[in-house]
Amino acid sequence: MAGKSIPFGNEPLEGIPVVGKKKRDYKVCNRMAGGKRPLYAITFNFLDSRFFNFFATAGGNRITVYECLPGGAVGVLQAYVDEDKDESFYTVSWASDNAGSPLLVASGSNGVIRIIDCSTEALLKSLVGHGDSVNELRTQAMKPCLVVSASKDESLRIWNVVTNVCVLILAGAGGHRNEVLSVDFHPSDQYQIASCGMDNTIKIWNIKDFWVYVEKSFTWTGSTSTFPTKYVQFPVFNASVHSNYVDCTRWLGDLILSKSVDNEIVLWEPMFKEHGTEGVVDILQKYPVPECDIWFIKFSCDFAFSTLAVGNREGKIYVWEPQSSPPNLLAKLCASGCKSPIRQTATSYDGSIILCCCEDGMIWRWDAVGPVSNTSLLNH
Amino acid sequence: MPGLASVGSYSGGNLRVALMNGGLQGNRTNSPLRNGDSMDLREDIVIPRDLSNCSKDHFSTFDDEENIAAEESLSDYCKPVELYNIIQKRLTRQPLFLQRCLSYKISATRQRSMRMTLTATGFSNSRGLIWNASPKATGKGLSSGNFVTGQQTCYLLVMVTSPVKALTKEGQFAYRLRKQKTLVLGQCANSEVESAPPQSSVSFILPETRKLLLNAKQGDIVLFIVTAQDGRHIEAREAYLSLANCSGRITWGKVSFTSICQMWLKSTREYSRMSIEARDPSDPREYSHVTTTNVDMKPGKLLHDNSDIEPSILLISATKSANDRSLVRLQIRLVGEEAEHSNLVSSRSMNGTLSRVPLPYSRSKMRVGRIVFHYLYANGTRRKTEVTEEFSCPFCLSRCASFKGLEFHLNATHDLFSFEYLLSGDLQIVVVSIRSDVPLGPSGILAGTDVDGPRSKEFMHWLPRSRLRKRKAPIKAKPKSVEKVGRTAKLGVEKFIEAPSLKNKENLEEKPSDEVVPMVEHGDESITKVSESDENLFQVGVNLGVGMDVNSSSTGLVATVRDVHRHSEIASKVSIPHHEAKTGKSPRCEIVVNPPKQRSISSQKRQRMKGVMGERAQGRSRLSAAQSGACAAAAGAPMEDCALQSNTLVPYKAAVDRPDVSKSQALLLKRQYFHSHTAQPMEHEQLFADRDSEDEIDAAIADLEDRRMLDDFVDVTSEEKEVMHLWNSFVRRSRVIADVHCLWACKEFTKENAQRFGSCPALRRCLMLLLSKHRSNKEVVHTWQDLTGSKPVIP
Repeated sequence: MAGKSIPFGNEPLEGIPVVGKKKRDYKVCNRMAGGKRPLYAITFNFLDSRFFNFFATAGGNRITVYECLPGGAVGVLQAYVDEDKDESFYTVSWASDNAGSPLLVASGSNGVIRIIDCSTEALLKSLVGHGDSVNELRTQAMKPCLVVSASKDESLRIWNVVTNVCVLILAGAGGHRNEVLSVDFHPSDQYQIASCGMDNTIKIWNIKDFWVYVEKSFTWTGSTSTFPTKYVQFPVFNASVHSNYVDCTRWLGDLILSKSVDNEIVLWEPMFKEHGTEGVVDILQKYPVPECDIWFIKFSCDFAFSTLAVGNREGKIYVWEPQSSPPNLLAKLCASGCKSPIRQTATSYDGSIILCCCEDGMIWRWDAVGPVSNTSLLNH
Repeated sequence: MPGLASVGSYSGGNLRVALMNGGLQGNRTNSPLRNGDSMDLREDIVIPRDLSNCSKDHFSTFDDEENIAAEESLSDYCKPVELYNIIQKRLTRQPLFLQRCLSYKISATRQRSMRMTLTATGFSNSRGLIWNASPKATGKGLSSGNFVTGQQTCYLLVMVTSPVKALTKEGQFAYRLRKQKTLVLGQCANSEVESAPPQSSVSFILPETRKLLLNAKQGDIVLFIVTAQDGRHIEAREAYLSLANCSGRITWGKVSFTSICQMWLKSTREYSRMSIEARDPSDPREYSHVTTTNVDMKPGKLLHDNSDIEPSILLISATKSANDRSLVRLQIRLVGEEAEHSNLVSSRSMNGTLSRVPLPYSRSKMRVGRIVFHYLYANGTRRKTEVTEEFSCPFCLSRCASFKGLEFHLNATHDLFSFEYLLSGDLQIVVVSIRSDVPLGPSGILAGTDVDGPRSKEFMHWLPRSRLRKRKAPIKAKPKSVEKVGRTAKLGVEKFIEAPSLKNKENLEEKPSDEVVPMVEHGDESITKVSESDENLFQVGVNLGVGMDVNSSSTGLVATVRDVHRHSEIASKVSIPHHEAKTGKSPRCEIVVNPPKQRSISSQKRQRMKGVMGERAQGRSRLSAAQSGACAAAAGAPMEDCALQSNTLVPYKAAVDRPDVSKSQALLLKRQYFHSHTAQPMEHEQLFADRDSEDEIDAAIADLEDRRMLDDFVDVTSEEKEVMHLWNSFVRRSRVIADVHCLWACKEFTKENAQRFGSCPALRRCLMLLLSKHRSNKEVVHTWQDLTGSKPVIP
């Protein structure tokens, strides 16, 4: 593991989970029951500025779309229920078709990816192919019709949700050796994908060589089953940062934020070697999250990655400022009624709203008190 | 044709056997098989007395009556010999279609060789003898003659060569330049050449006498002798080196082999006619031929010519050829002896050239291949004897190359006699007797139970599969692809059934020869029957067998069924190939069957059919019951049809209609199939497409992987990587798997990437390196020049 022989001066900076001087105040504005079954996913729409206030939750066999209204109110816009009562959605992601209308892509224990057109409120397509449940879906921000899915069947698949083809399968000889729990597209490099899972590794894939097939998928008109789906068998980077399940990973520029079950989020840099995939990692910072030792707890960031919110097993939310050094805990959110594990949080575009969905099916909304002083966002 | 000795020819102390032509008729002249050349050595051969002693003693004690009776029993040989004569005659008229490649026949055609030793015995010019090999004359000759003087030795260059007809003009002779040997006249005073000193006798290996005679008559072979012009001597060293090095004025002569061979043959014939007592053990003629001849040497001018494929020498006769002084006569002695084949081979293999040691001819050794045949008659109490040479068969003259070969030949070809093979010392004896268990009919034809001979036997002829496939390819294309798409192999047949027009028997009778004729009438019944239960699956096969027995009068039927059977074995789709078979046009009836045998075949077939059906039944367990019914229909019904319809062979062209087919197709469509690689649901078009969607070889990805692997190399330049990559992908694409493909691959690879290599010198260098690993340098250069028209620069 990393840490064994870290040269002097290269030790990772570990934040203190105590709210420091530079802090932000959040207050609970709203709480609502999203259903009786646990909610596993909640996500804001970052793809379209018209819908920055819209978010979707997934849990049980239900997908719900809400709007964050000013003044702390939350309005339910749409709710979709799967016919199969045993279906349990684990993940939901926003996508967009070529015309720009918002799509919802959701999947869960059945492994079927549902594509819902929110503008027409219709189920567009169900994508099948995964052999087991899908743990996470992410959308490529630059190509919002590309969706990657991470599945229990140890594979990742890249889908084109407009032409409904399975473009690539990232699995095989060099692929994951256990469930894939989380995946993320690189924010600026459209070829790179980071994934992590129960095999304790984080793998970075590069689909540059296969980009022709991705391009082909945009204009594919034939039958989806005849598309030349290719296997990407080898990742370009293979990192062992954690010693346990890695259940969430996000790119922070070229750095990676990843989380295991050992009460902390790690920021590290993949040091690509010229040859070979067994990479060296440089761990930069650590963000401790107390009482966060169960798997399938995911964190979220705002659009500019200036706010990172992660829940824990006891219903508390830690809001870190990931890009400050040393790491700065912006806020520690706890409410009296919120005691069950928070599976996923959602941070709004500017970080002023933090949502969380809990195991008990509750959705909590926290609003920042006063304006959010966000230097990095201003620079945008 | 060697016949049998008549009693009359038996005379004196030796058993003299007259070889007669035309069997016992004594018709010696008009035998069609008599071949002048080959008979030359075989006419009268006398065998040693000791062989015949016993029989002779017996013989003398018989009285007349017994003699007559024995005579009659001898005539038992007539009919078989006559029969063999007939066969032999027929063979010359109508040669065998199938040439037998028996090893004894092959080795018999191999040439036997003769070793010819040439010795110069005398030398004379117009003024008389100047040198003689005999010791007395030597001193005088050497001193008096001006050709060979004192210590100086004269070298003669001798070679066996053939004339170049294209270059021969008036006054000019041309010969091929062959390896010549040096002959020394006089003493070899200073033999400075150690490795192979010039000798006073030289020897050549030539073809056997008769072949040589034939060649000589055609002018293909001459003995050629050359020496220096008188007064001037070819230096020992120079002469030894080569004829190729000397030119200018020389004296030369040639000897045609025609006369020599004829003389040799004559002497052999004379010798073999001699009685055994008259032969002298020390007589060289026992194993060799000796001739002495004179060669006229003429002055001439030697030139070289290299224009032809082989270098040749030109000899221009001197204009004053009439000059007596320049004429020299060389007396040479030629000894030809038979070189035993095995000796020849072994000595050759030892040092590459023939050993100069005389071949080990022991006196006691028999002439090669002399076989003594004893023909027993009068219940084995008497015998006639005949001797053949060169392991020849006395009945059909075929040469068998070895005693073993003869044994095989006799047993195989002349089974009307029984043979006993004896090897006693040097004698190779075959005792021939009439077989009593083979009754011959009145006209020399075999009579009895075994009338048909091999015709009653069953011969299987298997065509290589590839040919079969090729023929069927266009028809099979579709069902094959269907089979590949899913686990729906059985449905291949159904693919062709579009129109659900179930015709009935009346229909068939109405238009029996139309292009669309259903063939399922009986089949339909069987289908329904079969689809009921599993046991019935087996029943189909059995039924088929029975059906065949019923219709066993037609051999065509069997072929048809067999065809069908084979198809069902090769591919599980029976329908289309089956049509082909049914049309009666199919020439693939390799099986030769006779009615009595048919029953066993059908039972055999039945067995195999059961096996097939069993497999089917197993495979079926995966499918639904209805589908299995369809499969059974596909497999079983056509065979049933064959059996039942063989009497009315009607040409079929169109596909068969079967109701179960569309049913199972619907079932197929009802199900959702997933692609095995991507787990994507397959659409019907893909299900029925003829592309193999499960092909694991993905060229594009393989190229990518290859490139990635190559990129991992640190000590390889990018150009080298490029060439490696190109080559790897080329090899993969064109499936170069064996060494023999390499030549082609190199060429094609270079051709394919000529543009690329032409533009980048670094790449070109890598390519040259690659090519030189696979091919010899010379070839590389050639290939390169072929392709680019320029010389390659090898780094």
